[in-house]
Amino acid sequence: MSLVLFYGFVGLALTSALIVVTTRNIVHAAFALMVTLFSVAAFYVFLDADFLAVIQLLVYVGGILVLVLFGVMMTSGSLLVKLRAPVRQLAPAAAIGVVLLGLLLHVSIGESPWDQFVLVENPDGSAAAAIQGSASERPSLASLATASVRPRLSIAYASTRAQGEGPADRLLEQEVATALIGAGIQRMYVVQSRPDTLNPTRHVVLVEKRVTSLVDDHAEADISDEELASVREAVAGRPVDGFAPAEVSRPEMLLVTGADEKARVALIGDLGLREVTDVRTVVGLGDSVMLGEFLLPFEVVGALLLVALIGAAVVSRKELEA
Amino acid sequence: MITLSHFMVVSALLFVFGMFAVLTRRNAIAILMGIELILNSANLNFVAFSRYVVGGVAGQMIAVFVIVLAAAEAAVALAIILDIYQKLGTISPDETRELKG
Amino acid sequence: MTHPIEAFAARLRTTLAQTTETLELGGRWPEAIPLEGLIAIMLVLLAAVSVALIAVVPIVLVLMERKISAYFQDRLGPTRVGPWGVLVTLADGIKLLFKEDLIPPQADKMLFRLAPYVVFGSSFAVVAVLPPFRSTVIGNLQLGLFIYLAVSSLVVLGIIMAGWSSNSKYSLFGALRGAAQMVSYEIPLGLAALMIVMTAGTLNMQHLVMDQVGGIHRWYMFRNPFLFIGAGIYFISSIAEVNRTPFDLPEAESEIVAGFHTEYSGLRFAYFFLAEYANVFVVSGICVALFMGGWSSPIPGFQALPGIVWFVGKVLVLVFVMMWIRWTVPRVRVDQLMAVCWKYLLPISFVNIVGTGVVVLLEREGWGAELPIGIGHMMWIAVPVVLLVLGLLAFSGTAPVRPRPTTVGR
Repeated sequence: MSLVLFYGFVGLALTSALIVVTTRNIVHAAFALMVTLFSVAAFYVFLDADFLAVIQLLVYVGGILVLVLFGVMMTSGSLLVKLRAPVRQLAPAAAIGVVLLGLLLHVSIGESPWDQFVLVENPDGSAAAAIQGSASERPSLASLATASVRPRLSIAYASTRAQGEGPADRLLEQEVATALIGAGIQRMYVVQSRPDTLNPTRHVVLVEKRVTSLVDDHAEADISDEELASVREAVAGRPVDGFAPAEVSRPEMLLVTGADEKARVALIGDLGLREVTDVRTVVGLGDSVMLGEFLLPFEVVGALLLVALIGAAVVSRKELEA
Repeated sequence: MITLSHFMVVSALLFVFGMFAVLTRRNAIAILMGIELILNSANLNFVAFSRYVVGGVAGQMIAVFVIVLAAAEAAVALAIILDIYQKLGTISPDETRELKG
Repeated sequence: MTHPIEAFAARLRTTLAQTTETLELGGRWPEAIPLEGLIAIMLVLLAAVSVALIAVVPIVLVLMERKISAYFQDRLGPTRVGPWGVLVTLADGIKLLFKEDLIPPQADKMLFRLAPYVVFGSSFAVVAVLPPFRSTVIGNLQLGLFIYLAVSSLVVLGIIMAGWSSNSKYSLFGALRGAAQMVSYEIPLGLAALMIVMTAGTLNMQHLVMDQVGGIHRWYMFRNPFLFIGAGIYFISSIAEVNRTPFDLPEAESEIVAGFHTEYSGLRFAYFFLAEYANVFVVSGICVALFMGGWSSPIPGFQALPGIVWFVGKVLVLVFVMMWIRWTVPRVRVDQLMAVCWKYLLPISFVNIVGTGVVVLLEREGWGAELPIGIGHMMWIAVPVVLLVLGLLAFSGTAPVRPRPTTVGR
């Protein structure tokens, strides 16, 4: 199904790109470029880069293309100029194009080192799929829950909110719980991580909730205080008086809300669980990445945009003295 | 199943189309469109390699920066093209040869 | 988000199996239906129902507009078709269906045919991000608000396409005016949405609404004065985005006939018309979800009415305000239009963003946690006081401005 869609978009992208290159009418070229850019946005969705796909639509299709169309309309005299080059220019260009295409295709589909990456385990996105033994399908919560290695799994959702008690987090829990019930899991632990004043990455407050209670609009968890305390201690790796560790099952799944990156990693490490992040959420490109690792390029690009803005305004300004 | 090679082939074709437009078009705006095609093909490769090979979001971040750069480039290029059109009355790169001695 | 749908499909399957067992069919036939098939059927059904529901919205809004404009002008409005004329838009639609579909001979035929679909499609696609009631599926896109901003910007391309392909000067003028206006007003619109994103920390429309549950004081609009001004900016920009009076220059009938859709007739015109009213509904819906609590009840503790009633009610109030403005305020000039955007809305937006950032930062640092009301609500008192003091300082040294003597009487 998705393959059919993919080839549909490939056809769309290549046909429209060909129109961009060959048409005699520059306005047609611009609108064909719209289709190409739209198809590239679809490719980004196939690559699990939803955020990028939306940026592509917003900046390229909604911004740059409108700018290009304005350029076409304001240089209306150029509409009469022949768009295609004479044959003596076309021939060498075609030759270069064919040679380059052959080279690129040889790299792409010939005997290349890329073949080994077809089934590679993506450390972020495809770990769950690898657990299932297939990297072709995108991991879903339901498939995770039915996977045979269930007991050692955790779902780590990091909400962007500072505190883990906002209504948005509750809705997130509710979504996950709905998916879990569909997959036949009844028991889930919701961990709300708060940094301890002494040791910010270690301290964890655990709230145990039955999955059903989550879906049922947050009815009170039907767990006694003692059981709660014991689960808390068991997760923290410490024995408790009166409760044998065996009585307390390890969590099948963890839903971590409100944790920052460090706390989350420490938490997962403490429990000896495998972490599966959902890279398809906005968290993947959220503030932690753009304002963390990529802060410098982010700022540089921002400054460049400002310079370009002022530069474009200055260049296109009509001469006042003329 | 969609593999890395699929995306690489699409990207290669888009790149060649874009380059062909840059080499043969007689209108500066059409050349700009070719450049956009080339940038898109590069972006597609960045994201595909980051998804299949490297992992993480580094490739997506680079693609975001390329898109932003493309926006800046398009704005400045169109401003220059408009200025040339007002001064010379043409935007064919073959005919704008004032600086040629 | 596909997981809730998959989970629902699994549950549906279990229920079906149980049903067939009680019906003594042996619980066999649901196994023949694969899960993917169920999901596909559900999605198709969902899409069909949504499109049918959404298509009703413009019909209702058109009737509303005609009735409201009639009462504003002391007329009765449509009265003939159906009781109080409620079926008149249906009759109009049928009339448009049977009209001849004219394509000007000079037009660029392919683009001319394509343009209505681009406008119609991108206007209706953004309905997907609206959260009409509490749900884990509908309107629960992780990037909802962002998708709205991106897809709604595609309308511009459809308008340019229509204007250029008609090969008529009125169409081209209308299209260029429309494109310039929509691209400009997208900026204050996006900045106003950015204030909400800063405050909430999410782009998911359902999460945004969830954060406003609990009464009118929880609405983002009333959280702090900056967001209140932001709501105003958003509303003004969205009126400009949907090309309605006082910002209806792209289709100003007294200047350029009907703007970009001058040459369109019959069903193709109906597409533009439907898209326009769908747009009105969508921008109002987004405004309600962002600033006015979405489907949540404004009265704390009052939960008797279902969420969709509140949502539709609030949206209709905003739509009424838009129509009120349309039949009250005259059209602005092109230079005034651009001045409103670039000289007023944009600088105010920047100041607002800084102010919202300050409030968010103070709240995150835990300021005012011991106070009975939040730091944002404190700002309601602080900001007017600061403005008053600044105003007094600025005008304390200057003489009072006397009205100039008029020259009319001479």
